[in-house]
Amino acid sequence: MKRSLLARLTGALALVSLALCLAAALLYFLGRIPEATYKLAFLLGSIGWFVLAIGRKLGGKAGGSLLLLVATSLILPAGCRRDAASPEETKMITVWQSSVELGDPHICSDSVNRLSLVFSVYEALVKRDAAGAYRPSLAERWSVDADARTWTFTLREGVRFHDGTSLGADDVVASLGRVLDPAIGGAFGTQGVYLSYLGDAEIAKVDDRTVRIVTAEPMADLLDLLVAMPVGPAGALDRLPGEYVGSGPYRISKRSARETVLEAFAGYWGEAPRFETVRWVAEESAAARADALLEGRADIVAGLEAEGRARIAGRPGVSLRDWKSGLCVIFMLDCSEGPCRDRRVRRALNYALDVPAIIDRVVPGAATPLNGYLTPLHFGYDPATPAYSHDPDKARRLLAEAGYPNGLKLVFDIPSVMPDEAPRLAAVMAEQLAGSGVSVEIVRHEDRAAYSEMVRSKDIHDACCFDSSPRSTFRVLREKIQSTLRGPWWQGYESEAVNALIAQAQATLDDGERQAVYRRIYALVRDDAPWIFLYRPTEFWGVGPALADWRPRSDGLLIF
Amino acid sequence: MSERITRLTAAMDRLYEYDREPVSPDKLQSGGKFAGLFAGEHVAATEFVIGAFFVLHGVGARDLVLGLLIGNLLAVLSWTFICAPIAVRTRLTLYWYLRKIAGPGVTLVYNVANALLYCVLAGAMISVSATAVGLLFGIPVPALGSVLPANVGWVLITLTLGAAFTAMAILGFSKLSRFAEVVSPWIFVVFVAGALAALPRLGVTPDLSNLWEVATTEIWNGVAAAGQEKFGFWHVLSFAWFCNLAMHVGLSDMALFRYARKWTYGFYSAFGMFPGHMLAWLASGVMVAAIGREMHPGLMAYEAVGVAGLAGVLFAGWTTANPTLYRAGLALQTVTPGWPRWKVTLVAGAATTVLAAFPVFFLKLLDYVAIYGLVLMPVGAIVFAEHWLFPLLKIEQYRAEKRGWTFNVTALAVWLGTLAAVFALPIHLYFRWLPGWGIAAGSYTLLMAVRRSR
Repeated sequence: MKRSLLARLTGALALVSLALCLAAALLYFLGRIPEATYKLAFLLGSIGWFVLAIGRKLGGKAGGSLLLLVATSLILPAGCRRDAASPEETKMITVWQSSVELGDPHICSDSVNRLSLVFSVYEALVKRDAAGAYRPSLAERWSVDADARTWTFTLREGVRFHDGTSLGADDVVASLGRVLDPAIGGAFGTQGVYLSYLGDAEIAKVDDRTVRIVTAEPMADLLDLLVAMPVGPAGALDRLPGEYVGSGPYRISKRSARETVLEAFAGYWGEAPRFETVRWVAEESAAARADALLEGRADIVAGLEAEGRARIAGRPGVSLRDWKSGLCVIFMLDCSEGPCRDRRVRRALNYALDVPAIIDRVVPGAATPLNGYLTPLHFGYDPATPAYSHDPDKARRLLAEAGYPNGLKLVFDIPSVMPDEAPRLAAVMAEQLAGSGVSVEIVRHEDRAAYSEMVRSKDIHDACCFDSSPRSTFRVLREKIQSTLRGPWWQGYESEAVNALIAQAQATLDDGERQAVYRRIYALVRDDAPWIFLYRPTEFWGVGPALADWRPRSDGLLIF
Repeated sequence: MSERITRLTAAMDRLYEYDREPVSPDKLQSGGKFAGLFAGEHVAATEFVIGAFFVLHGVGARDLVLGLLIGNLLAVLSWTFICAPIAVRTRLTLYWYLRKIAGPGVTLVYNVANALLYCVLAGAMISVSATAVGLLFGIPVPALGSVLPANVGWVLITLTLGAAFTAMAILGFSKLSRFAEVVSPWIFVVFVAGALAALPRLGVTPDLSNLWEVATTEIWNGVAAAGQEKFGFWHVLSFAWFCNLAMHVGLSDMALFRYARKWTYGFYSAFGMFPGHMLAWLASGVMVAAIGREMHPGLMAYEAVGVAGLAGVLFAGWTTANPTLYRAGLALQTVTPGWPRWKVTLVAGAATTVLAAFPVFFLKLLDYVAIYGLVLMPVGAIVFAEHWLFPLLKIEQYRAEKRGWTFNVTALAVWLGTLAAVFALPIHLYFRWLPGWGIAAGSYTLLMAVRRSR
């Protein structure tokens, strides 16, 4: 009888061990425990299961098994406590990335490195949540009139800037005014980008807590722009760049080209920042960044390359994190003149390429093929849109239909960096295109800034390697696709249907309906192929024990 | 020659003597026992590979979920309406029932074919375990599409594991079987926990609001890996259905269902199909997506579950290979009468170990599973026809037994003829078995009817 009770108890405890494994996974999924704790708990739960279950199967070992389980049970909570507590006890972390320059917070830039620092220090009227939806930030609430032009923002009360002043409508109007100042400049040809959207808009203070923006035309996606516009106190704006005063969770305590140190802002209105100090170190070499992590000099390193990932993978105490970015690596085709004016040639170029094979050769394991001009992080992306299949025969047929039965010669412009793999990428593409009768001459440009200017002035040859970085679908369309505006990166693509749908989308306030319109545009542009759609790169970070529970945000920014 | 065959078949009969008689009513088992049996058998090392391959073959999320739901349902129905009724009516194993229908010679051929197929499967399982052990020593897994071993380290690990697995199969098969019973539920937990832990890496938020979006864009996004054929709904449906073809339509699970009280116990196979061939496949898909779509079961499990995951892959491979090796040995023993069991298992283990060094068997597991089912399926069709169609058409049953035929040449010809026909069919490998089953059942019935009239 006694033995039977013991056997039952052993059986029940064995099941508890299995349940522990599952519970650990669930808690890790919910972000309640760090990865190391989850894996340790799983291991110990597994040991418990095996000891108890095998003991039961083999018989007569229940007592011994119980002892082992008790030992396990004692070890486990201790292990959990120690591991879980360590990140919380950490007061300072060190981040290594390729650059720690903030520059001017009001220029238009999609650099993740830069924006991580900018939005640790500053905030905008709105912010995105993990799913990409807009949430209140400095604006407590907002409304928009049915004309999709008049937006009214009510500011949050009790927000203080790092200099002690309080947030008011004047600060917002002044900050947005500075963003639109043509003198602010830009990065890699982005000067004047925001001005092209809001140059004719009225941005006015209604009262101390209310700001109204009236756009010249319907702009249902105005928040796409405002989310990237940091707000600072009006009185401190003329000291930019140089003195950074925001309302974000961290304030700058030290800054140089090599290092920027942020300290938690005690007066922050939101949830208190996790760390007292975040030290950012600039290191251009990806290998050196990986070394810093492995040697314990860094708690998190950004921009890992394959070599660094291989060294970090499997090493105790450090782990890898990845994030499929919202960046699209593409070749923009000159649709205004030359062979690529013909839609059939553009489609043929897409069919001629085997993108998964290109990824395997150029950025193995670090990119995902695109099925159009957006990534799944973008509003209006359509997963049902089929990617161009690799079909060299079809490519040849299309070229023949377009009047090139014997193939043709094209000239591709490429930069030496951004994307850094551009030279290898172009070489592999040229090799594959040759299989469909397309001979490619590659023109390499060493000066990246000048390259951007060349693209912006639409002086490219038949195609140019580029990346499309805005998270905003509206911006991608306006700046690269819509022909009525001839935006900075537009290369001659004309489609009245697409133009009309973009206008329709901007007049459509309902998110569901607007998404449907964007999906129609997505299918049309995919079919017209003004670009060669290649891939979205995956970003990799290495993290140490202090950030074992850290996971990338949906925008890839490092904000702690 | 005929004397040799008679000797071989007599030896084979002795080997299977213990299950010669129909199961008596007092030995029948409860439904719960069947549920447990299926739940334990269908969460194995193969699941780490199959689920991951669906991702690499570019199956879309909706196609996968629907294909698995319907395909697994069809598999359950196959067990319930094809395998279980015959088993319950005859209370015999396929071995003894086939002997009545096709004669001991055909049964011998069936056994040898089965043994060879088991060896390949066990080899693939050793390869899966090798991915876990290789990770500890930094040995790379052969690239997709590899046929030959790519490095010495891989060969050494597969040979070592093969030798260890074989030794353990020789020394303690029954203890290992009990160990497998312990491992099985834990492996299921490894799958579920691993997938759960991998989801955040793919961007799934704790409220699961973007789960479907991530599933359709990051996991089963419809993009096939380089060099991999694109699969869709029909491929998934068909694969899920035929994955255990030899067991249900091929009737080898008569050995289990002859212990069932009722034929409706076939429905208990759902306890194996939906957790194992649906949840575990989905889980391994999540895990492979989280490591960047690399066919590396060891890395998948390590990244998702840690050291316990490595043990999971090792144990899963081991506990799947162990009974497979044992069965291969048992089947081969029929052609090596007088050899002790250890010697036969050693030979089977040695062959398996050599096969394991060739990554093609594990990297082409899906195709191999299809071929495995195709090869044995005609036997099931022949038995089905003889059992159900012959009485309806008033064709005499069990003529091989009644007339003492060593070989029912019609059955053998139909089997081989069906294989020739299905391998010549100009359709995808995965879709060949269904017409093949019709060809086998139809032609066997027809030919045996003609043979009667003569």
